[in-house]
Amino acid sequence: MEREATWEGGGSPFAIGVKPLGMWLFVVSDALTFSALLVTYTYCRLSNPDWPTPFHFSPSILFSTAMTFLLLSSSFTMALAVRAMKNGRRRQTVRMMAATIAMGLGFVALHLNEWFHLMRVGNITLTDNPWHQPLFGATFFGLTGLHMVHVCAGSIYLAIVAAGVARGKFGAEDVETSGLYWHFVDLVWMFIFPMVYLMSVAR
Amino acid sequence: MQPTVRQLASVWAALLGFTLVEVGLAYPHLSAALFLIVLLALSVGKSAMIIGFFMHLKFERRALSLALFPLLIVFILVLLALLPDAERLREMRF
Repeated sequence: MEREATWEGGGSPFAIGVKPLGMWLFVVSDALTFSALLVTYTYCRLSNPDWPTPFHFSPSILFSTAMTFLLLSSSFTMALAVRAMKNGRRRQTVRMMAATIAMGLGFVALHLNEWFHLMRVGNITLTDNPWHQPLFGATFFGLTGLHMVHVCAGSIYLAIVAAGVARGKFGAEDVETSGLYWHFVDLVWMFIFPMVYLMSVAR
Repeated sequence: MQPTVRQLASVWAALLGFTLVEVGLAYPHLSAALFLIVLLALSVGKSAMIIGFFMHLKFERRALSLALFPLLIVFILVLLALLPDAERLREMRF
């Protein structure tokens, strides 16, 4: 006799709240966007033997390594914030989130500095560069610019949530949800840094 | 269940260490294809640590991972299947 399949997932099959679940779905869809952009960049890079290699050790690789360290450290403090909030320690949560935001803003400051250095010293713009490969500027500034927008948006989002936590308006689920977004921004950079910067170091 | 502070700190230290390895590998002359494969492997490893511990997916019900990731992995593999064509394009140019 054939058994009928029955639903046994209950009301919450993933055992997480609707807010983190919504953020997970957003994260996966945003990952598709960044994947497509990264593969586009890598395709252009591999298909072109004259692809620009403008990233000198100082400042580009030095700065981008420091930026990577900042993002990784900000993810660590964000994870600590989520943990603190789950344990009911609001003040520590706000402190950890403030540290996360500060490192996010530090990332943006270093990134802008590195961009302007490439423009001023390396003569690299959105449409031209000394290698005469216009696709480099388009893909490089497009990809890293979209990521920087995510970091800025994340900093604002975390600031709003931290203020809400301080006032007692937001709970552990809100901090966890904002943390998922922040870790995703960090995760994307784990691919941009090697694929874009390290693959094109100046020798 | 949630990750301990010691687990989080260990993951953070490992991620910083892997980043230094990546930077160190950028300077010996490896072929672009080999370097790309090594970097991708390191990036996937680092991502797994971030997703597993910082995003605490390791501590969530497995149904969540099964619902989210197969689609993403298939999509990325389909995109990566385009990359060998870059070599063909390079040969057509020169």
